[in-house]
Amino acid sequence: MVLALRAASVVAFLLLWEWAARVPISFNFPSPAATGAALLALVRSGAILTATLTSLQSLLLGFGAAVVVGVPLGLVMGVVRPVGRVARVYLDLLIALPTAALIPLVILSFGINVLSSAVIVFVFSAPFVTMNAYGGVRDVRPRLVEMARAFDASWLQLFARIVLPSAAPMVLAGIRYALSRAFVGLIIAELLLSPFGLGRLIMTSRSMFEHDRMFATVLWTLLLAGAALAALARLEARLLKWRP
Amino acid sequence: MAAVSAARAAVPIAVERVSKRFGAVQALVDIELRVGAGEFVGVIGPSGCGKTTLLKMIAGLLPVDAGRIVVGDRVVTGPGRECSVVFQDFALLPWATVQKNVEFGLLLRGVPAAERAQTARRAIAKVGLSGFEGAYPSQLSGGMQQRVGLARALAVTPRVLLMDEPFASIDEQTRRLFQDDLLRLWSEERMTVVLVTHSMEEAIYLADRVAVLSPRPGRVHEVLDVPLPRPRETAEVRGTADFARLVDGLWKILRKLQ
Amino acid sequence: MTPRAAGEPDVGRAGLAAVGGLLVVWEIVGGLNVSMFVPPISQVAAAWWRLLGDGTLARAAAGSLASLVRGFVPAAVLGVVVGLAMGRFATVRYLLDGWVNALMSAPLSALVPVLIALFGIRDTVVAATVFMFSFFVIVVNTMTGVRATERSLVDMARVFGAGETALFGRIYLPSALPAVMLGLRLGVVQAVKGMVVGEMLISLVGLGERLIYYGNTFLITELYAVIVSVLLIALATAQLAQVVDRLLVRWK
Repeated sequence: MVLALRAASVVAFLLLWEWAARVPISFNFPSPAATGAALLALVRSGAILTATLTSLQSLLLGFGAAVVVGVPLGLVMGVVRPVGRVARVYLDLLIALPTAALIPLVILSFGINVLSSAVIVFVFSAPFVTMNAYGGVRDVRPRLVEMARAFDASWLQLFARIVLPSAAPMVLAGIRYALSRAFVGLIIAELLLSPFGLGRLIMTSRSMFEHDRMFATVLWTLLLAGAALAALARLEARLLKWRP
Repeated sequence: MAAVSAARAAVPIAVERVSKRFGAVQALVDIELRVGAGEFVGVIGPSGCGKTTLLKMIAGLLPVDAGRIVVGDRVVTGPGRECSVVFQDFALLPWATVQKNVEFGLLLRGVPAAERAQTARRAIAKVGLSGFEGAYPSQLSGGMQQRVGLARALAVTPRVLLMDEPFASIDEQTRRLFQDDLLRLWSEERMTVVLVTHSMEEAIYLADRVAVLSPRPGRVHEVLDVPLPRPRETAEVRGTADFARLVDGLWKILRKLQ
Repeated sequence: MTPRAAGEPDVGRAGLAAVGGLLVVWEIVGGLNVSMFVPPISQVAAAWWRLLGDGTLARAAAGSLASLVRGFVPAAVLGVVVGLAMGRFATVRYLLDGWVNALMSAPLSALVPVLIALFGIRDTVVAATVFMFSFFVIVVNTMTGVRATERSLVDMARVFGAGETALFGRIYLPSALPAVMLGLRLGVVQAVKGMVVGEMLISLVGLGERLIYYGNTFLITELYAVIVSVLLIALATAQLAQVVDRLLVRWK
């Protein structure tokens, strides 16, 4: 029953899309079929794959840095409470403000290159990794700490065997959420920067009014982001299979 | 049924004129309590009388403000190797299997892996959970989780077992079975036991003596002897007149304290 | 008001103190002339004042805020309605939750070029981006709030003869109100982000356009001044949303 409803909504969407192309709702609005054909052509020509690789470069660089810097920073924030209390205010601010506004500044400072995109990806994703690591440490159940202390555990043992495993779910969730933010930053950066990756492909197709190619690339990008997040979610579930 | 390994003989506990305050609140005053080696002592009292605080001080988790506590020949200044604690809310590591949970105390003490695993399996068998080594706490009932907690406490062969309302979160039928199992295990290991409880029946059923604490600030109001014969888990102790009389006597003391 | 969630700025004393500290450090670093990309605050403040005086900021901000309102209001109304429906009726939920969940974590900025293809290069695109960015957060929070209504309250009301309308008005809605307000507060923060992204991508109007322009022309102090203005608007709108929440929801 549930499956039928979900399938029905997908079908409804496709029909709506087809209708929009027939009307047409705007100049050169591509139909689902045209989009599919364009996607196939893009894959065959290799254009979309090269673009993907370039994009992934910036993504992995920026996101990787965010995890490597953010997790330890968040853990420190959680363990050393005063640091946490101060730093969290700045991080809250960073998370809530339109990070995109900083992009022209980053481009000016670092130039039009992969480094710029990577920095932008970092700024978009690092605060979330950090805040979640911080939250994970802060939310450790005091009873478990007490239990370990009753067994005369040392500080190192407490940290490694109670705090870290306890914080792991929140840290991993933070990493997963940060990945979705990283994609957001990546796409905006590339749409603005233009010389690179999937963003460039989208912008050039649009400016040449090749809307079927543009739609195809947008679809591909969304699917790519979705696949990456799903993969991470799988990994997370495997690592945390003890959860009820 | 008394098999005591000479290398791990039980030790006595001496609580000497101990007081404890939390900020402006005086929790315990002038507590005097002697527990003989291998003795089973219950601690009972109205809510807020400080029984859990007393237990934590014996365990070394809380410092005393006045007086001292001596476990065996050691003055308590922090957690030690002779004591094991069983908690009311089980305190199991949710991310670890039963096996790993029971091994936890041994792990912290640096026992090598193979020996750990073996010791833990024996402890798991003793509490009747053989076959559940690979399960996670979230898959177990409350009673089973507490058995894991008990197995973990026993795995380090403690000389003193401290239990903080261990059966409070368990339904009555499971609780009774568990109490019998506890008595059986205790008669085999014969460690010193201090059990904090709010159940009068439980205190009389399990203990050799029951210490009654007064309301805050907690003092030892009275120590009741429980001269019921052992082993109690095989006899129909709960139905006897002596049992009822002792429980009633305890209730009269507590009622006056409320 | 439900406690501040991750994703909302702290506009209280702690937040202002933190910003203050940052400004002090900035002024020191800027004075040291470490890089042409970090000008001292005094210069930024001067540029800000200039832009305010010649009306550039006012015009840009007006355009931005107009798009913000045009995009957020429909998102709020539609979002709450859809969220209520999804929360109350399982059928609706099964139909839509796949899309909602997928789009909530998707890089929606990738869809802005699609919007441009639909509407052309016009300010409507900005409003549409604002809508897109805020809609899903509002839907999800509203839906969660409705679904979290205590079963026992619903049963109790039905025992006393409450019909669908009464259930909605007297049980579900009041119970879900804090969650709805939280969704709206988070939605405002997302809306401002959408506003900036949309304006930067079409590069036609508003503060986003100014960001692109000053970036391209290397006018660094002016760029900073616009960034500061964007941050101020973001903080102000978030604060406004929190104030409205406190006024409306007093029982939680």
